[in-house]
Parts: sequence; structure tokens; C-alpha cells
Amino acid sequence: MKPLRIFGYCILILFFFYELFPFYWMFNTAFKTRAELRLSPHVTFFPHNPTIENFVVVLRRQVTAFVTPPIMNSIIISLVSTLITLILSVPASYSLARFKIKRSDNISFWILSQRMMPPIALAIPYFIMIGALNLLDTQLALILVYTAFNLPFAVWMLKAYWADFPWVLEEAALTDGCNRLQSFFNVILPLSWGSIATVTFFTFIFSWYEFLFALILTRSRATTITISLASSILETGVEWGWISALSVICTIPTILLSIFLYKRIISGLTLGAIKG
Amino acid sequence: MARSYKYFLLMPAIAYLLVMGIFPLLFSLHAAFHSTVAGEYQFVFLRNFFRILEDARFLNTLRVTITIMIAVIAIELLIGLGMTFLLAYLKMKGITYTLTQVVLLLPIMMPPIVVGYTWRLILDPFIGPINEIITSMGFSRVTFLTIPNTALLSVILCTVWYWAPFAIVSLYAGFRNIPEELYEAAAVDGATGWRSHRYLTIPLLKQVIVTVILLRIMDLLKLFDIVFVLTSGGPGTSTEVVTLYNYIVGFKYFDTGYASAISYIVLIFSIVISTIFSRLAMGEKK
Amino acid sequence: MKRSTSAITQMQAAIIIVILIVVVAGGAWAYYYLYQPPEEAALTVATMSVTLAMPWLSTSDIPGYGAQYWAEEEGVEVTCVEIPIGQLYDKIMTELRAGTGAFDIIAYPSYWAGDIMGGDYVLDLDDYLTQYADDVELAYDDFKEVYRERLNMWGGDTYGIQIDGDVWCLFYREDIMENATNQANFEAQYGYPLRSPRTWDEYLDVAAFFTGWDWDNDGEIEYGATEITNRAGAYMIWNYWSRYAPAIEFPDGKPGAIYFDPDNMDPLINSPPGEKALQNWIDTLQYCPPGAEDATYEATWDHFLGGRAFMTHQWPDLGPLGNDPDYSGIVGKSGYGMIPGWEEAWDFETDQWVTNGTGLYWEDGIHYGSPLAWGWTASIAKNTKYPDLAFELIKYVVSPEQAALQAAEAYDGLDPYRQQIFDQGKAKTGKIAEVFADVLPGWENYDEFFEALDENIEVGVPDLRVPSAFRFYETLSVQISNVFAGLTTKDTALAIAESEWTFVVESLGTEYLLGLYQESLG
Repeated sequence: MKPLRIFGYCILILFFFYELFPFYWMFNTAFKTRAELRLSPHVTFFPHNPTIENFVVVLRRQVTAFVTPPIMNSIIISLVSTLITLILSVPASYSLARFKIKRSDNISFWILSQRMMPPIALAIPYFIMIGALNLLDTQLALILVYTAFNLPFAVWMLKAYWADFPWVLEEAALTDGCNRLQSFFNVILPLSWGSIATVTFFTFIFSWYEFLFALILTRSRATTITISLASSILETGVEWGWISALSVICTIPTILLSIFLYKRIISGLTLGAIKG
Repeated sequence: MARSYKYFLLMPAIAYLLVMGIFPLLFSLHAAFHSTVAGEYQFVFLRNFFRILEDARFLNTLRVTITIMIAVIAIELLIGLGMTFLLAYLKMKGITYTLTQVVLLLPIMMPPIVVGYTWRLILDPFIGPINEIITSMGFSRVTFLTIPNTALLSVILCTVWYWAPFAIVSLYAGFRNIPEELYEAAAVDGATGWRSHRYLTIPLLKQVIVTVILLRIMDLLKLFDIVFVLTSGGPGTSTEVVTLYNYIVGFKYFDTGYASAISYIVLIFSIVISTIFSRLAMGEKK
Repeated sequence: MKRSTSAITQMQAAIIIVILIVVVAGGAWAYYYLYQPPEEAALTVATMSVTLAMPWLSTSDIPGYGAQYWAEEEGVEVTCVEIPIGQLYDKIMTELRAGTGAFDIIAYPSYWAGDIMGGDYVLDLDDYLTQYADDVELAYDDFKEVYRERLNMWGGDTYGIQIDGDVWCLFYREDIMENATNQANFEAQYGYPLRSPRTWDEYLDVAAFFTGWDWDNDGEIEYGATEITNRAGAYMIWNYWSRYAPAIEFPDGKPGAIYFDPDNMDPLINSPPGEKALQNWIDTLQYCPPGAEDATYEATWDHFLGGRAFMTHQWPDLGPLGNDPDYSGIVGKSGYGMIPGWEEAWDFETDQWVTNGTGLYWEDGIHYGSPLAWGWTASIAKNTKYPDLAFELIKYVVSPEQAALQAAEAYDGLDPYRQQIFDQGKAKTGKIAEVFADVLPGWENYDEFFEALDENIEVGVPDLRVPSAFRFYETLSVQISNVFAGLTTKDTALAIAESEWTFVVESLGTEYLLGLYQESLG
């Protein structure tokens, strides 16, 4: 191998190291005992006595320190919000992509412009609206809000995918005697599975990560897992072991999913850049 | 039949966005024109907006936010282009390529909050690995997050760490879209390696670059989670970004009128910038 | 491409399965969501929930202490909601404003009283006090007067019960101070004996003396002091008040009147005492361990308990904490003193420095004033369903037995507020002696600790108690932390803080706030 090539690989590895180091550190800290974190004279790069006590404590606190365990809240909110997003976005994007609709370009742009909206602009109105509906600190509140944020992205992504879709297949199915609904389920959906899976992934992840609105709209009943991270900061100090353990729990699902779905994720991410 | 139900398919989504997107904005505008004085909610017209112009702390947040935006985007583009060239040069296939893609994706998969906390731990002067290395080499501890300049730098580096993969993946994908023949043609003309990149790749990637910049600007205007957790506005107000100040005014001081006014200014700013850039992006498409 | 329209294809089957799953999941969720928490009308006292918002109470593992213990005994379901300290104000206030009844009892520091009590969000407790006047568990007369007569009241009525007697105290390493060599060297260098600093100038001297060398022979360079300077969490500001308050000859003898002019609501912080206080704080930082410009509360504990700083001044928690072998490396080595004062105090009436004054706050030509900083108060939310039970729980938490346990427990954040606890502590008798011998056996001089606390309370200065006090404290903290970060100068910071305070006062209504301020002064 040419020396330049080796050098190139070295840079690549260094970069990987830079990107992966925080993961390593997160795992490292999650398995350390409290004593080692607080009292050890030197920072250890590997736990001396690896322990799962942080995980045990954190999971126990999920139940004792909150009215409803935040993990459960996060799962439910993310799943339901994703579901509703799909229910609303699939037909809408199908319609935009397939049919000629008056001013569809404007509509598309408007939908995309929702992405431009900084969430903070909606923070106060949402807070007041949700409060007026007496839905503060409920899962429903976050579900509604997250759907509102995910919907534009989902519509945009599906529309972009369906713009390239071979509609002749649908025409063929229609001439074969299927109605629109059957042709949708039998022909379009199977071929679009990947794209829909990508959208599902992104909307789920967005709801899973979200912090600002969870911070504003929840207190004790509907806290999500991201908020529960902050509860490891006690008056007495930051419990880094707890935070790391909770971070691991929070991140593992997405890491696993991304290992399996990486191709889809990359295509989803680059969709914007390439197709504009 | 097709005629009417295509609108039916579209309506639920539009209706939802109208209720959850447009209506709150109108509400926010209404709130921006009011203020609570002596315990009573009063119409104060543009007073909140004028106050913004005099608010030194707000102007500081603008400065901080714009600094972060420029620095982050510049660094990300450099890294993105650099890695794209590197990957192009290395021409990886198969398992190494897969591995590279997965590794590049992982940072974005972390929740921003976790990113913030983990980096805060890494940068900690007493229990963080970076200071451990620094002290074992004999230097004195660097308290990254308590000195304004290094705190800002830490926020920038943390954000870059988090989003650089996006730039890399986008630019590389864009690069892969460029037909091989163009490079072969250029090679015939004597432009290989670095020169081919300089005269071929970068110009052709312009549209992708502009789009990436646009998306990153929109994302960075919303920057909140990482700053909230890493520095909470930093030593003093040196890393206080607009969203953080907006949050403080709205949810700590409960000055809803003023907070709404601020968020409107941010919204308008966001729309203006993204319109400019998306015009640029769409223009290039031709 | 022919597809049979009658047979169920794989795809359709998959979709049916997915829909079934969704329906089942949705049903389960709907059931869970709609039927929890139980909203049945509780006619029997045995089943219902009393929800608290406190950052520590229920999950304590200490036997015989905490709301859960009471809950088990009484057969009441108590849910303690833990909110991180940095979000406590937001969460409580948004909840009270929304009025959803999510919290039955709230615990908050006294300077939020303007928003909470003044906002009419909590119940008037006078009826309960009358009802339980003879109850030994409550023994309200046993509470220190400043809490009973001042901090728990608003507009003449009692709205809260003090559950924590916070007063700032000076902590130092008694073992190091009593070292004969140190004493000799100090006196030689500064001309007066080494002792618990009486003024803030002496504080700087002592801090300087103990900075830069290893005075406890552990191989590390040590420092003279450690201060809370981190902006998040809003704890830092009392480092300023502790220097500012003693520098002022209290208008009308009212220590609470140091924030605004009681006649016209002008901010008083941009003034000679304000500058003197800030300058002293800035000067102290050079004698603190690295990271001094942004040190958190916990960091000061680490520094003091880890033997890295000679002294500090802060909440009483450091007393029990410093003598608990689980947390402290300096068990039995701490000394306790008054928060330093100044040899002159500014009189706002005459715009002059006053010396050798008389009265409660002057002693030997030094003017004192210790911040009654924070101080958890418990109130019952107005829209609670179970006010009686809520009061019973509060009564349990403040009972003399619990108070004794709380005094010994380092991590609860609850400090003594009952006269009998102070008496027992100073004399080393009674329940306190029992508990301390049991929980903190290594602590010999806890009588000195109680003595010091009591002395500080005698010259206690209450917090600002008007609506938006949080905002006033916050904006001042931000400006001061900008000074520490090197982003602005002391004079600019105070000037900006003053103009921000004026702006907030005007936008909230000067007359309105002035009325409330005057009322809060008593």
C-alpha cells in the first residue's frame, strides 16, 4: 500500500476515534462505581470494578422518582406520534405526488417551511394552548406536538420518494381491475416499504430525542426519558454514573436500529441535500 | 371520483398543520402585543419589540448564535469536503465501506441531550479524560467550561462532533452522484487527484453545499439542547444562544409578551435566511 | 400482472396484523391513560394520593424519615415528584399558573413567596394553626420567631410552614487554624491573631494566608477559600448578599430593606456598599481553587471536604456533611463562625458610611448581617383535594422528632429551625445528642455549630419577597457572572443590573410592587 494511502487510513481512523470516543466514555462511566467516580485520584479509562449498580439505581428511580416511568412515556409517545404522523402523511404525500393539485408547489413549500420554524416560536403558544385544554403534563400533549413537527418532514420525504415512483405499475394494476385502495396496498406499498420505514425511523427518533417541549409541557406524569436525565442532577452533585447509565439505555435502541437500517438512514439524510 | 378524493387525502394533514402550525403563530403575535402590568394583562402594541432593540443581552445572544453558526458550518464543510476527498481517494468497498458508513452515522443517533452531558463529562476539569491527559503531561488543568472563549469553543466543537457526519454523508453522496466519465475526461486533460477535485468536484457539489448550509442554518437557529446541558449559557452569558434566552424570558421570568416578541424576531430571521438560501439552492438546480 | 382480488395476499395479511397490533396497543394505552391516576371520589381516607414537589424527600433510604414512611403508617398514597433544582421554579410556577392540581404540597425557598403566596396560589393556614395549637407534634411556638412571624406570613396571614432553617454560616478548618505555627506566622504577617474572620477584609487576609502552600501535608497545593460562582441553579447570589447585607445600615432597622428603597422602589444595589461587596468577592476569587469563576455548590463541597480550601461560607448543610465519614475527608476538623461583617455600614438616608453604631446588628464596632438564604417553606396548593391530609404530612415533617433527624442528615438539605433543636444542640442533650451520637459519632464540636447558627440567625437578613424576586436575583447573577468571566467590569455590571431591575419594576407596576415590598418588610 502506498504510504499516502496508509496516511489516509490513519486520518480516517483518527477521525473515527474522535467520533466514537464519547460513546466509549459513556459506556465507561456507566459501569463505574460511585466511589470510583468521586474518589479515585486519577480518571480511569476502564472501570476497576465494573458494576451494573448504576443501571439498577436508574431503573429503580424511573419508578420511584416519577409518577409514570419516563421510559414508558417515551415509548408510548414516540410510537403513537409516529403512527399518527404516518396516518396523516402517507395519504397526503401520495396525493401530492400522484395527482395534479392546484398550487401543489405552494403547498409543498409551505409544508417544508414548517421545518424552518424554530420550535421556540411555538413554545409559548403551545404552552398556553395545551394549558387551556387542560392537557399539561399528559402524553397526549406531547403526541400532538411531536406529530405537528414530524408531519412536514414525513410528507416532504415521502413525496420526494414518490416523485420517482414508477406509476405505470399502478396504472397496470388499475387496468387489471383493482380499485385505488387495492392498488395502493398491493402495488405501491410493497415497493415503498423502505421509504416508509425510513420515515418511521426518523419520526420515531425525533420524538425520542426531543427535549424542549418535553421540558416545557411535562412535570411528573408525562416526563420523557430525556427529561429524566436531568433528574440525575441532584442538589448534592451530578451523578455521572446515573446519567451515563441512562444515556446508554436511551441510546442503545437507536444505535442498534441504525446498524440495521444504515442504508435507509443515509438515504434519508441525504435526500434533502441531493434532491433539494 | 379521483378528483374529489385526492383533496380528501390531503386535507387531514393540512388541517392538522393549520391548527398546530399557523394558529399558534397568530396566538403568539397576539401575545407579543400584550404585557402584564401591575398584575393585569394589557395591550402594549410595539413596546415589546422596541425593548428588543435596547436589550443588550439579546444582542449578545445574536452575536453568540451567529458566531456559532458561522464557525460550525465552516468547520463542518471543511471536514465534510476533506473526508469526501479522503473517501474518494481511499475508494473503499465492501465491509470497510459499510463500517465507515455505520461509524459516521452513530453520532447523529445520539440524543442531543446525551451528547451534551457526555461532552460535559469529558471536558470536566476533575473527572474528565481530557484534563487527565493534560495533567499527566504536566500542564495545569484547563477548565473548559468556565472560561468564555473555551466554553464557546467547546459548544462549537461539540456541535461539530454531533453534526459533521451529516455534512460528510451528504457531500459524499453528492460526490458519488457525479458520473465517473467526467473524472476520466478530466484525467485525459491532465487533471487528476487534487486538481480534479478543485476544478470538478467542488463546483459540481455547489448545490449540495448550499443545501447543506441551508439545512444547517435552520438547525443551528434552533440550537438549544446542547447549550442548555453543556454550559447553560456559559460563564456569564458567553454561550447564551437566542433560543436559550427566549426560554429564560418565557419560562423563568414568565414575561410571555416579551418572549413572544423575541421568538417572532427569530422566526422572521429564520424565514428570511432560509428563503435567501433556498433561492440560491433552487437557482443552482437549473 | 394479474392479482386475485379475493385471496388475501401476504401484504394484506401483514397489514391486518399490524392494524391488530396497533388496535390492541392503542386500547391498552387508552385504558392506561384514561384510568390512571385514579380519580375516584375518595370518601375513605385510606386511598388517595398527595403529591409533593420536592427534590429529595421520599426516596431517602433513611429509616423513620421521609414522606413514604408517614404514608405507610397512615395508609395514604404519597407520590413525591422529584424535580431537578434548576427547573424547580419553572415547574412549580407553570403548574400553579395552569392550576391543574397536580401538586398538593409544594416546597420552595422564601424568596419565591412573592410569586407563590402573593399570587394567591396557596391556602391560608391560620385555621390549621388554631386547630393544632396544642398539638405537640406541631408545636408552632417552638419555631424560631423569624420564621413564624415573618417568612411564613404574607399580608398578615400564615401561608407556609418552614421546613428548613437556612442561614449562612462561616466554615473553616479549625485544626489548621489552631496550629501554633500558623497562628504565629499569621500574627507576624498581619498584626492580629488568627481567628474566625470578623470582617470581610480579615476574610481576604486569612484566605490570602492559606493560599498557595500545602497546609495539610497531603502533597497538594491548597487555597484559602472557595465560593459558589456558577450561574445555573441560582445559588451564587448569596455570596453577594453575604457581603452586601452587612455593609448596609438597615433602613428603619429592617434588614429586608436592602434591595430596594422602601419609599420609592429604587434599586439599591448600584451603590457604595454594592461596589464594596462585589469588589471583595472579586478579590476573593484569586484565593480559590482552579475553576473559581464558575464553581458550583457541589464543587465548593468537594474543595472544602477534600481539604483543598481552608474556609467557605454557605448553607448549614456543610456542618453535618463535613462530619459524615461517607462524604468528608475532614471529619471532626471544622470550625464555625459568624458571617463576616464590615467595620462601617452605609446609611442610605444620609449617604454616608456609619461606624460604631448600636443596635441588634452591631457588635464591637462591626456591623453584621447573615443571609437567611433560601429556606424551604411548605405550602398547600389551593386546588388540592385533600388539604387536611396535606397539613398532616407537613406536620409530620416538621415534628420535633423528624427535625432532630433532619439536623443530622447531611443530604436532606433541611436545617434546624426549632428553638428546642438549637437548645439541645448547644447543650448536647436530648434527642439531638442521641441522634448525633448515633449518626455522626465523629463530630465532637456540634455544639459550636449550633451556637454559630444561632448567632447568625440573630442577625439574619431575609431574602427579597416580592413577585418576580427570582427574576431580580437572576439578572443580577447574570451580570455578576459576566464580571467573573471577564466579559464586563464591576461598575458596568452593577449599572446594568440596576437598570434591568428598574425596567422590571416599571413593567410590573411600580406602585403595585412598592406596596407589596413594604408589606413584606413587616
